Amino acid sequence: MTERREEPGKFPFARGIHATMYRGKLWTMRQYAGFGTATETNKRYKYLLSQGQTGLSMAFDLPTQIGYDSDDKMALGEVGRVGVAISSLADMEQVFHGIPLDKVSTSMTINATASILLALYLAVADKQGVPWSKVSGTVQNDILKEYIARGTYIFPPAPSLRLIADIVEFCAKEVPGWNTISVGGYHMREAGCTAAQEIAFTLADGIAYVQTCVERGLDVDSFAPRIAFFFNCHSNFLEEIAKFRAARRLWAHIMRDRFGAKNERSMMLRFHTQTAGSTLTAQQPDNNVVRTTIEALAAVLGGTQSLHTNARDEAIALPTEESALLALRTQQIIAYESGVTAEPDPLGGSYYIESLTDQLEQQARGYLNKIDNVGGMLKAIEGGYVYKEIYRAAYEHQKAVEKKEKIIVGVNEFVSEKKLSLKTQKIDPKSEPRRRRELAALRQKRNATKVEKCVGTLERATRSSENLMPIIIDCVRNYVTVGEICKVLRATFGEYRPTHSI
Amino acid sequence: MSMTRRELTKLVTRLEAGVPLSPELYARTGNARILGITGPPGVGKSSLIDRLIDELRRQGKTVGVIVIDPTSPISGGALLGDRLRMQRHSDDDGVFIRSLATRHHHGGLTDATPQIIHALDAAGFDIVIVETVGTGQDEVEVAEVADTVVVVLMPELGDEIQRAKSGLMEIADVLVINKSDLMNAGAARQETRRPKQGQRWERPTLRTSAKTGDGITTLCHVADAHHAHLAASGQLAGRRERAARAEVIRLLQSRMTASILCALGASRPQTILSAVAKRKLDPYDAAQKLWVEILGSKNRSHKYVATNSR
Amino acid sequence: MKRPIKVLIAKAGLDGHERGALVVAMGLRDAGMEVVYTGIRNTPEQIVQAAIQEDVNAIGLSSLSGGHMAQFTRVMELLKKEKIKGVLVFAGGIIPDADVKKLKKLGIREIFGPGSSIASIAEFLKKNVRSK
Ligand SMILES: Nc1nc2c(ncn2[C@@H]2O[C@H](COP(=O)(O)OP(=O)(O)O)[C@@H](O)[C@H]2O)c(=O)[nH]1
Ligand SMILES: [Mg+2]
Repeated sequence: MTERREEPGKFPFARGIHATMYRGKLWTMRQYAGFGTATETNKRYKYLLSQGQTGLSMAFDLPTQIGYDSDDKMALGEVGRVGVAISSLADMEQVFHGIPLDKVSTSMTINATASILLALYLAVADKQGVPWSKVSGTVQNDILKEYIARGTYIFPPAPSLRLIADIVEFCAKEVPGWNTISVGGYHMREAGCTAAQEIAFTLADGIAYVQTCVERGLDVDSFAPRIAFFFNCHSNFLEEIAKFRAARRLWAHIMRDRFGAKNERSMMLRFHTQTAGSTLTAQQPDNNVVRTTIEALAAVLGGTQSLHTNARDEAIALPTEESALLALRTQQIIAYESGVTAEPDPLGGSYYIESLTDQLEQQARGYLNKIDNVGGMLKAIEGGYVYKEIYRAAYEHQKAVEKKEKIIVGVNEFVSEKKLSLKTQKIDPKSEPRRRRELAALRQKRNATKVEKCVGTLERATRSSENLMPIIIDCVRNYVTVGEICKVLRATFGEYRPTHSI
Repeated sequence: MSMTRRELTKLVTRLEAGVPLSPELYARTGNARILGITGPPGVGKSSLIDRLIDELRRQGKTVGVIVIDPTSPISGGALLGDRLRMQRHSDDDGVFIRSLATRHHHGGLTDATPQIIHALDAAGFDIVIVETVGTGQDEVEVAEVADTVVVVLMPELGDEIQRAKSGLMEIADVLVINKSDLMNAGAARQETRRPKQGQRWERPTLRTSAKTGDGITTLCHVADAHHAHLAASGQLAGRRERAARAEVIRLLQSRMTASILCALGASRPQTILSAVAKRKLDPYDAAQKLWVEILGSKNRSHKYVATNSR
Repeated sequence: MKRPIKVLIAKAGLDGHERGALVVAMGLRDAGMEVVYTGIRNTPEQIVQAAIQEDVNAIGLSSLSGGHMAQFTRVMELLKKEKIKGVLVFAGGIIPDADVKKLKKLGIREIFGPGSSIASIAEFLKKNVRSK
């Protein structure tokens, strides 16, 4: 172990990005929630706001994420399932009806269609008379992990990166309070990768984004502070704590040494954490509360900026109200009762934690070097390297569980009969047909000449290097739908076809 | 098409199980063009076929595809991953794709591949494409069934190319360097030389990218040109004769093998075999003795090949 | 030689989480089966056509987004329409109990929920696939 004297709040930030950490300010408790229709979402948001919450979290259904309107053939069975369905400005207006956008911050889990959803949000702000300088929030806008693990890609990597850079550039000028990218390792970890791989692949994605923006001529310090991260917190308590520390140290060095960042805020790795859905079991579901507690504690000891704790039935069913509340209480107990917030990085200096941190940093560096050697993350993804690494690890894990080399309590050892009963998600069967009717009406009602004109402008712009954000905003203002915009983009950019082998 | 998809797929399954094609169906074959695509794993054969299907469908041709992947010698199972690249054509009426595992067969094809090609041919497909893994000397059987063999490689294969040169190059009618998008601009420039139409076919080298679609149309043209060349020069008949010969010889071989294995099960051959093991008899003499006996009993041995006879 | 069991593993709908489907595909291969894997975003039409062309013994459907009722139902309808018999359909993913009953009524033979072992899926297939 190297002898070092690292301090919280100082470069390279292994011990945390703030000197006082949670003594100064607790982490944000952000529970990802909400599906259903625009009206239901609106109602839910108003309730949450009335309870004192200021951060809204917005989940979209898969058609919205993949650029199909609710009435598209591809949307069969998916409308309003894993989030709210947004096809046009009318839907977005509905969601934020009576919610002043200068009073809330909205975090949107959206990637391939991030520019369109952001455009819709800004168009709503306009309608409310809220200036963009007063708008704040986040788009996930992290397409690379979609190719690897989550699958909501549309276009090939190059045009996707252009869209991302368009957002970054546009927001740096027009919407300074917007967090433009949330680089995620969460889904890759859920897909089965190891802790070291999670660090490496996430940071490699981050490097690719920063590189793209720098190549566009943006000053690194003008946008880097607006990039955040999103990690998983898995079951191996000490390893996870070390993982966060190692990731922070690596990123600080990457930003300073590789990209020449000058502003310390560019070097600080800020991150949101979610406890690991893949560690939850359908067998003996109460055990999941214990798992989540341990994972949440690791995230806090690892210095997270915000945290989502899973409900005991999350990721395998629809959380009941009671279990959702228990999940929130779990982090509240850690925050207010456990005492772990008293000191920044309380485990710093522990021989084991420090050596584990060094070890993970080393391993992650190894992967990063490999990725650099094949020509960067884009090449590594397209060549199938990352995918293979992750799914090989997932299969090895599965085999180890089946051979009982790894014990999962209640699954392959200490088994009892009690099983989680999976409840049905209540989705109105009439909602898909209703959406179809509404969209048909909208297409009738809107100004066809304007629609044609701005779609034409978009079409031309896709083939230039112009920033598409203002043009997309113009489209959505005229009620051009998400699906229609994506159709234009698909025509120019093409669609990504998976390249991995198995 | 003269068969429904369901009839065709069941027929292919029966052929795979060793049941022969009916003479009536065989009489209806010979109309399809057979295109073999081979090369080392990962060079982009399946992705190229996916693009070729696009192009051929644009021309209004129907396409049957047979994709062959190796069986794991350990588990006997196989992960048939080629279809993944062409799955978008699944619901096109003019396309039929079948994945096969090699099982115990070596050489690139499967036991029943020639028969399955006949089946797709009889079903009326204009073109039948056969993808096999070919890494070198041994896996060249595709040449025994195809009219045109396309060998696919990719840039910077180094060793692979060296190895491939020996066996694969001998069977290549067209050489394709795929993944041209990964080459630098100079190297990637498309070769414009059109193959000559004389008696001798000069094997062209093409650059393609299944990723961008570059060179696919040219590949189609060149394959057409090769076929035209075969037809014009009278070599097509020769190839087809060669294919028929190879197929019949293979059937004879499998009958012979079956007969031999069966015959060896009897008690006298067993005694001879143990004598070899005990070093009382050498293998050559043993083989000679058994050979005479098996040939002598050939009239009786018919029952042993019941699975292969009509 | 007896034909190994041939299985199609497909993800229906738009959901892109592949881990479960892939791990099952690899596991069934190692259990000696021939596995055709068709990846994510398959339409029911593509799944059924692939199953026909490959003449598989079984189809494994995976869905995690909640769209399973619409998509699996459509797959079963299409199988019926194409008069496909003797193909065993099983499913995996997050399927609520109430839906499990409905899906079984549609003819889906078994639903393997979260935490199912590959060994149990392989055993199920070996026991229930009609040998051809
Ligand atoms: N860059 C690039 N990658 C390709 C090209 N063709 C195929 N690939 C990739 O190469 C890998 C193997 O492709 P595949 O078609 O399965 O190869 P096969 O094993 O020869 O059938 C996949 O990752 C493909 O996406 C190409 O022209 N350019
Ligand atoms: Mg292939």
